[in-house]
Amino acid sequence: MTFETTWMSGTPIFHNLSNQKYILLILQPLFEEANRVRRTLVSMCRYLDGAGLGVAIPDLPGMGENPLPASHISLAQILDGTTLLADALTKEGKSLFTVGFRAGCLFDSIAPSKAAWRFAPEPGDRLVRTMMRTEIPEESNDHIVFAQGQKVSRALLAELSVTEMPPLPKLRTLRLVTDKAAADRHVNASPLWRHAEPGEDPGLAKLLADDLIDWVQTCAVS
Amino acid sequence: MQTDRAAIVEDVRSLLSDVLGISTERAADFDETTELFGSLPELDSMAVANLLAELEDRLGIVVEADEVDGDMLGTFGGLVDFVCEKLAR
Repeated sequence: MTFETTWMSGTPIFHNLSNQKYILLILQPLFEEANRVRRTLVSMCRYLDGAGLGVAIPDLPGMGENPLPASHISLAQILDGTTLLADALTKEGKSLFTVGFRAGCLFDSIAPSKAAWRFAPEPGDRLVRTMMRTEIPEESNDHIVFAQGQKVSRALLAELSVTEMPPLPKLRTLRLVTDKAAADRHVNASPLWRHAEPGEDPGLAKLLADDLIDWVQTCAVS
Repeated sequence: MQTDRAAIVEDVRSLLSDVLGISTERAADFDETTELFGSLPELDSMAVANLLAELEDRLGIVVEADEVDGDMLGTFGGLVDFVCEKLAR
């Protein structure tokens, strides 16, 4: 399956979509955090695939396999692209659920989604605050911020910093035990997205997949 | 509000272990005089940004740019002192 939007070209990573009734649209963390959790997310997707769930895990510009840079992208383009992708995935009567990680949860309130699941959601202002701490001013200009090894649109960061994460009617939230905010479940694991080097947590991948499998079953019968 | 220094010591130890990816055994050896920034190769500028973000997330404090200096990040004890002062305000 190929798909193109204003922000995505090429072929996103899709697994097992042809015969599946339920599809999970994985919204990855943004920027460098995505690299830190990538291996764990892919392991989680393998468990989901093994349980018969369809999984789509697209890369935003500047991330993973996406050939486009993050320097000329707006929040509206990300939201439009995500909605178009979700529409395409649900064309044949499939039920779609959004699965957001960290700041990826900022994009999960899209119309075709039946329900949303969030892990360690990160508010936009917190993401931008950390991003700006690593800015290299000599490499930045009025339009581009150079931080965490890549060029990012300054306008996008300004938009993200004021983007709210809306409460959704059908929402399940998981957080780490070190995060005292309210959640449906607190998970005892290390924050992979903060690690100095990309790593992997196979136990966390299995735990998250099991939680998602139970959640989809619950949503399907309710 | 958390002001118990012994508890904060363990919070900061756990946080350093998580962010820097160092073993809990190695982190357990940290004492007040253990040197951090400039001595721990894992603690580069990116790791400092992540350390500050995780401090803010876990402990509910806000760290301003002008508060990050050699005293704050120089030693384990200095970092614990900083957190204690922040939480006491």
